[in-house]
Formats: sequence, structure tokens, C-alpha cells
Amino acid sequence: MTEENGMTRPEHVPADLVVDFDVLGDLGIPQAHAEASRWRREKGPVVWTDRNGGYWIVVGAEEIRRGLVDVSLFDSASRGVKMVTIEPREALVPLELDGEEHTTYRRILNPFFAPRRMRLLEDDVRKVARQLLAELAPTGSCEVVADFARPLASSMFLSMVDWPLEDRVKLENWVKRQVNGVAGESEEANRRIQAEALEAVTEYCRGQITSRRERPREDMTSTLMNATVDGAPIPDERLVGLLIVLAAGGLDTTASVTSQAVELFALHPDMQAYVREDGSRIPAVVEEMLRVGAPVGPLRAALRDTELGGVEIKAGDRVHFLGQAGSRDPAEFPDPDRVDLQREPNRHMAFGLGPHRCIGAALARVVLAVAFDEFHAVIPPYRLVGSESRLGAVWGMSSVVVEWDVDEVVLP
Amino acid sequence: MEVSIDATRCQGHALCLSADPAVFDFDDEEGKAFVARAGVPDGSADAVRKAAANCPESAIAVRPEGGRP
Ligand code: HEM
Ligand code: SF4
Repeated sequence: MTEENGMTRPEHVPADLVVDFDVLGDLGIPQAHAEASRWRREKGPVVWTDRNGGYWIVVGAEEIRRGLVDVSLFDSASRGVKMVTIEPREALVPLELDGEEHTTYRRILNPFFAPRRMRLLEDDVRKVARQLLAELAPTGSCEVVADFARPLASSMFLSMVDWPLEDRVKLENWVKRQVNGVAGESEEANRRIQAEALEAVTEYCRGQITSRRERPREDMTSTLMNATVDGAPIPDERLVGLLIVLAAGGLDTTASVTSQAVELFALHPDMQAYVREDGSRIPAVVEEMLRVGAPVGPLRAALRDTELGGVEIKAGDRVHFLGQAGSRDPAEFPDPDRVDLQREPNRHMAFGLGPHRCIGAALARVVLAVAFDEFHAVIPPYRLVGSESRLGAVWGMSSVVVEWDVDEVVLP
Repeated sequence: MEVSIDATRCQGHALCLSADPAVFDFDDEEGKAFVARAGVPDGSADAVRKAAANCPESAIAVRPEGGRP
């Protein structure tokens, strides 16, 4: 090990593969993509950063596929996962489980997220979207993240688990701090910020469980409480870990892709017009927005010594499979930084791959499709006023402000 | 044309189900797709080829009638 400024680097990391990448620093999304392309070009598909405890970053599509699909190479449980190293804590479910136990929890969850069942939610999502947009349209401008993308994604999640809609903003803020820390704060400060936010979310989830113990209901939370693993009820700590992951998955990710898409469309009137013209184009648009706006890259730890993209990785090394960058690998995606709303095929990695593949993918696809459809049905041609992005465990927009001409608004 | 899904690879992204629900079906408990009819009707050939090309896990195999995968 070499130690420098409190940073640790194992001996087997070649110096020429080291890059300076701080996922909790003040880099924006476009800069991060530019960096990742440069690493791929100049150093290859696998590089190392000393920041946040030190880990490998995989930016090659082929290497990401291999690493996520072959579970004999990398695990999720010990994943030094956290962007910053934190004290040992209960596993997030099913995110930080492997093998049999992981499969057991996926089986419990699968029916709730079944693709056909998610499509039935479309009308509900549409209703929420229309309500939000009917209020925004006459004002002539909005901040897409707070005014549209977040409330839409969160309302769907909250109604699924049947938690109070009034708690939305409170929950969103905790989850944001828990998942991403606060950009620009020191590693030390972020460790505390994330731990405190996790504690708050944990308490909140415990509260939801307790209130249902007293008065059982018919919702997803109650159904999960009554589910069994090997004949016994799901242990409390597993149940809490599960609700936390659902909240994190349901609140932050979909909103990120929605806001990134509106920002892009605001800068490209031709794309806006394309989406506006014909609803049947939207599924392919959703896939391309997932590709260029992929917000999450899975984290793992190596189970044994192995080789990835010609680089020697040792058991215990932490690895960030940067699907965001893999989905822009020119080896698989021709002209990868160009947004092609009809891209075909489009095997992007936004939802991850292998057994931990995002269980909320079908729900997210419904929410994104409705978001793009309704936004353009209600809001007339719009322009970008300003925007700001940030990294973190879920890359996203801090804000996207757009404006339009009020006299062009025609409410249905 | 015939189509099959390798269940050990399929992770239930369900893109195939969207591509052609007449050919692909979905097991809601297992969270995996399966083939509802191995012989692909002529009208579905393009959709099935597209599903195979887009499957994120490369789980879908397409071959000519009676041919090898
Ligand atoms: C555009 C929106 C979304 C994106 C891009 C996304 C992305 C991802 C990715 C990349 C993973 C894999 C993590 C890993 O391999 O370690 C994942 C897992 C997961 N996601 Fe999502 N997600 C989204 C929406 C959702 C929604 C709406 C929910 C649920 C309400 C959700 C719930 C989950 C859960 C529970 C897992 C853990 C699955 C497991 O470990 O087996 N996600 N997501
Ligand atoms: S697209 Fe591929 S991985 Fe997804 S359900 Fe169909 S066969 Fe399975």
C-alpha cells in the first residue's frame, strides 16, 4: 500500500492507470462523460481513482457486461460499495445480498414490479402528470426537477407503498443526502451527512412498519411485512433495508433521467418537435434518454484475483462499473455522444445487468414515457434558462429551469 | 424461424415482451421471460429479430425453422 494525503493505493495498481476522479466532487455530468471518454481512449477500459477510499472504474461496455453478469467474479454484499467508506451496517435489500438470499428476496418483490402490472399504472401516472402540468403551464416557466420530475416519480412510488404524500419532500431530501452526500463537502463531512440521513430514513421506514403492525392494511408495505422467508416472517432489519432501497430507487433515479431529457430537449427544438409530433416514437426516445442520461453505475467488490480488460484486479478490490460511460462506449454504440432518438439496437446499461438488474425498470419506463408524452402535450415549445448537474451515487440535475410563451398554452 | 430464451441468462428486462407479446411471455414470480410459441409467425419475424438484437443479456437466440441455434 502507498499512502499519500490520507489516500491509499494497493501495490498492484499501475501508476499509469490512475485518474483523479472524485464522484462527490464538483464535476458536472458533461465533464464526467468527457473524462470517461478520455480515459477509455488514453488508458483503456479500466482505470483507478484514489478518491473515496480508492477503487477501480470500469468504462468499457464489454468489461462491464462481463463483470456484472459473472457473479463468481464480483459480489454485492461486501461491495465496499459506498462512495465513501462507512461503518458496517445492515445490508440494503436486495442490493447488497448475493446468491440464494438475493434470489429469495427478488422472488418476493418480482410480482409487485411485474412489467404488465406496471403498465396498468400508466393512467395513474398520467393523472399525476396532468395535475402538475396544469398548474405549471400558465406560469410560463418552471424548475423541472422540483416542479415536475421529482413529484411525478415520487408520487408513483409513494402510492405503490402507500406512504403519505405529505412526506414526499422530507423523504426526497433525506434520500438525496443518503445516496449522494453533499457535493463539495469533505469526505469526512459526507460520511456524517450520509450516516445521519440514512438514520432518518431508517427511522421513517420503521415508523411505517410499526403503524401497520398496529393497523394492518392492504398495501405493498403490509404485503411485504407478511411475506415469509424459509417459513418465517422477513426479519425486521431486512424489511427496513428493503424499504430504504425502494425509496432510494423510486425517488431519485427516474427524476434524474426526466430532468436530463427536458434539459436536452430545451436545447434542441428539433428534438422537442420530434417528440411532440408522434406518441409512437416515445418508447425509442425513452431508451435513448436512458442511454445518454444513465444515472447509476453498480458497485461491487472482487471475490477473487481476476483480470478485466487486461488489468489485474485482486480479491477485495472495490469496483465501480460505470454504466453511464459503458452506454457511450464507441465499440458498441456508433457515434456514442450523438443523441439518436431512433437508435437501434440500443443495449444501454442504465438499469444494470445480471441478477441485480433494476427491478423497477418497467415502472421507470412507464413513468418516463408518460413524462415525455404529457410534458410536450401541455407545455408549448420551451427554452433553457439555466441548468446545473452533479455526480454522486445517482448522477442528476440540481436544477433545470425552462420557460415558454404563456399565450401559446392550450390546456386540454 | 424459431426463437428461444436462455433462462440462465434472462434477467427479466422485459424488452422482448414489449417487442412482441404474441411470441414472448413473462413469468411474474420468477421475473423472467419465456417463449410463448417457439415457431415465429411470419408477421413477427422482424419484431423477434429486433428483440434478440436489443436483449441486454443476449438471452434470445433466433434460428431458421429446424435449424441449429
Ligand atoms: C430511470 C430509473 C432507474 C434507473 C436508471 C435505475 C438503475 C438501477 C441500477 C443500475 C440498478 C443495479 C444496481 C446494482 O447492480 O448494484 C438498480 C437496482 C435496483 N433498483 Fe433501480 N433504477 C431506476 C428506477 C427504479 C425504481 C423506480 C425502483 C423502485 C421503486 C427501483 C428499484 C431498484 C431496486 C430495488 C434495485 C436493487 C435490485 C437488486 O439488487 O436485485 N429502481 N437500479
Ligand atoms: S429482453 Fe432478454 S433479458 Fe429481458 S426479459 Fe427478454 S429475454 Fe429476458
